[in-house]
This record gives sequence, structure tokens and C-alpha cells, in this order.
Amino acid sequence: MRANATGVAWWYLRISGLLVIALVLGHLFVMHYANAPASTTSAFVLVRWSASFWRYFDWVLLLLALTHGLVGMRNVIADAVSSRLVRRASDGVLAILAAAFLAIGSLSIVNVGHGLQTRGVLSGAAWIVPTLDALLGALALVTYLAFVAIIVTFVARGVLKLPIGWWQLHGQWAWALHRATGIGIFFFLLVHVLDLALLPLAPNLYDATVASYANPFLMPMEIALVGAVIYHALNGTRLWILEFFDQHTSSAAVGTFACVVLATLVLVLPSIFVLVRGG
Amino acid sequence: MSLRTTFRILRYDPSTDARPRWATYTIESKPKFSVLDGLFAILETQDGTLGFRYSCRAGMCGSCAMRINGRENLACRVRLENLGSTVTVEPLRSLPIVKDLATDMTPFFEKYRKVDPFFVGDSPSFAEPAPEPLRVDPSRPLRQDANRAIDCISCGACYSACPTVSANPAYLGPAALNRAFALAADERDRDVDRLARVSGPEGAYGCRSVGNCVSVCPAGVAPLAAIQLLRRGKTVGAS
Repeated sequence: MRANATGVAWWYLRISGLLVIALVLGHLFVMHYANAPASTTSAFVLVRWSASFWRYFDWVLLLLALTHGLVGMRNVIADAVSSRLVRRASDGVLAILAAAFLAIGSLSIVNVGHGLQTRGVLSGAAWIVPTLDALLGALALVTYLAFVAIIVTFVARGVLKLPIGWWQLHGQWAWALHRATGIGIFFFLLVHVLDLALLPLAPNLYDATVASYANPFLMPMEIALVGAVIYHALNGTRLWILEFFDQHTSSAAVGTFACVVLATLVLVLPSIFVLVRGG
Repeated sequence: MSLRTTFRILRYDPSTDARPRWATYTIESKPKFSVLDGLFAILETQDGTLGFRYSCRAGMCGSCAMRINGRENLACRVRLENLGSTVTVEPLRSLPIVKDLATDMTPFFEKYRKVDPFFVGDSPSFAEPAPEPLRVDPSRPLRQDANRAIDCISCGACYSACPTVSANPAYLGPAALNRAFALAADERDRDVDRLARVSGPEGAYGCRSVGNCVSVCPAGVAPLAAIQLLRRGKTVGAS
């Protein structure tokens, strides 16, 4: 079958996903397991990005994660919006957003690679840290509200003795979790690129933003984020196995989904320990 | 030994009702009673206005597909003794309701027709003698994949369970794409347009790989596997 634009997007999602898995899990290990997020200060990043290997590693990760997220978000919008005009417009907005954030992240990596000054041109801008904190807080609030909404919905259906419909099917959960984690990771990535932009412009403010990760209100969101990245990576691998090794049987799909959920829960535990201990 | 079963049925008559409503009926069922038997018991003894569709009563025609305890299945194949004391029955999703549990299958079959769901052979020529029939090796993996795909009974269970169909009404759906694969994997088929018809965003690449279609198919077909083989170009023939 000839792949048109939708086909190319589908293949890109699969290939970029496979390539980004090792990079994102490596990034997660360094930032959430080997170190507590609040300890990844500008000094930490300076040492890290003084090695060209880590600069290339993080840049390729940024490129693949942003473009993978771009195509994924395009699918989310295509499923939610029926108007062709709105879809076209959102495609354009997403492309501009991805290009802009790729440029911001790339500039940050290149500039920090050349060394850091104690102060940058934005070091005196007092509004930046509260703004980034508000963005992270909003992301955390949406995450918590989503959890509450899910629990309330299922309790209400149980009380009213209404069937849970397709939510009794593992595939529905696998897909919905993949989508929800993908959306969450994409928006966190955007906020993350913004705080990385502070490294060359205002390293003191970058350190203040990183210190916010020790805020108790944000900690559950950070744990959820680690879980989201692990789940998204493992379920992406699961899709590859099902789709490219002809394993589309119901039992294989159920079994692999159970493994993905179990592995996610087990792998998140050490990061909780690191986060709580590291503050 | 009889079994008391309460049916909660989502009822809706578009000509008189503003919105669907739940109706409750309790029946005394016998061993091996199916959900369809239960619906007949209600129709015959409690409410003659209950609407549902059926035909073969043997799990072959696909007419009695509906949502039983939230999951798509054939009413004639599901035994009440396996469902507990309360059974919830709803019509298929993503299709207009004709009355109660009977849905209008027109959108389903309109999409089915879009993939040329019929075999297209060599044009017969009376001027020349018929060519030797093509020999098809039944052990070929692609032939076996096609064999699995042709077991579809077009009941619409996969169409109802698919969240992509629900989100995007233009999406062809698992049954139509499964049929397209069954024919595209047939060495004898000569339809040159079929693959082009299923390659757009409404076709195989529009599928989100959820897999509900595989979970609910009462005939044991795996439409998602067929869709994936289409996406990977695992087809043969002129198409």
C-alpha cells in the first residue's frame, strides 16, 4: 500500500518512537534515578554538557521527542476535531511550536556548551520563575484533576450499576493511557525547554526553577511524569512487538499489556525514593 | 432449575422518545438460556414493544450483535448463567438506533462498499479459451492470514467497539478494512483501486491500534492484524 501523508506520519511515529526509547530512558535514569531532579542545577548541567556526547545525546532526544510529540498531538487533534479547517490550522500551530522549541532548546545546548556566565541578560527578570512555577503548577493540577475525574467516573458508574463499556477492554486502557501520557509528556517537554532556555540567559533563575521541583505540590506530578515516560516507552515497544511480529491475538495483547503496567509500577518505585530523599 | 435474571435494557424509539431510557425486566430463565432467549421471554410475556434484530440464532448471521454488560457480542451466543443476576443490554454504538436494540447498519455497509468488498476476477473472454486456474498454495502465510480475515460475519461488533470510529465518523472501520485485506491478499483478485481506497486518513493509517476489535470479535477474526498487514504492504496481486 502506497503511504500518503497520513502513512508517512504513521511510519514516522513508529520509527521515531523506537529510536527515542533508549534515549529517553537514559535521560530518565540520569535525571530521576542517579540524581534527584532538584539537584540538577546549572552547575550540574554545565559539567554534563561540557562533554560533547551528552550535548549530542540531549539534542537528538529533543529533536525526536518534539517531532514524535508533534505527530502524536496531530493524531489527538484529528480524533477530537471534525473541521478540516481547524485541523489544518492546528497542524500549522503545532509545526511552528515544534520548530520554535527545537530552536530554543538547540540554542541553549550550543550556548551552555561554550560555558556559563554567573549572570545572563534575563537574570534580573523577577517574573520568570513565578511564571514557570505557575505552568508546572497548572500541569500538576490538570494531572490531579484527571486522576480524580477517572476515580469519580468509575465510582459513579459502579454506584449507578452502569456498565463501564469499552473500559473493560485492555486495549482501551492501553490506548487511553498511551494518549494521556503522550499529551502530558509533550506539554511537560515544552515547559522543560523553556526552563532550559534560562541556562544561558539567567542561570540563577534556572537554579530557582529547578529548586521548585522539591515543592511537595509538584512531587506527585513528577512521579506521575516518570511513570508516564516509562509507560509510554514500554507500551510503544509493546505496539512494535504486536504490529511488526504478527502478534495481534487477544491473549498476546492482554499479556503484554499486563507486563507493561507491572513493569511501569515496579520501575517507578526507585524514582519515588530518590525524589523524596533528594527533596 | 430456573434462574432469576434482571434485564436492564436501554430503550429508545426515535419516533416518540426524546432520549434513551433504561427499562428493567425480571425473567425466570432456564439452563442454557441465551441473552436472545431472555429478550424473547420479555417480548412474549412482559412487553411486546421491545425491539431487537435476530435471524439464525446460531452465531452465524451476526444480526443480533449488541452490547451485553457493556461488551459487544452476539445475543444468541451469550448464556445468561455466565452473566450474573443483572444483565445490561444496549444497542451497538456509533450506529443510528432504529428501535431499542436494533440499529441501522447503513453507515456500516456504506463504508463496507467503499472498499469494493467483492472479488474481481479476470474478465472472461468468449473468444479465447479459459486460462488455467491459478494454483493457490494454502500453506502460504499470507493465504492463512487471508483465511482468518474471511471468517468475518459483518455483525458490526468491531465497528461499535472501535473508539476511532466513534471519534472520526469518516473512518472506514475495522470490518471494512479487514475485508479489504482479505481480498488484497488474494492472488486471484484483480481490483487495482482497492488499496488506494484504504490508504487515506480514513483508511488503514487512520487506525489507532487500540485492539478492541480483536477483543470483541465473536467470530475470532483479528481486524487489527489485517489492518497492520495492509499498512506493512503485506498484500499480493494486481492491487
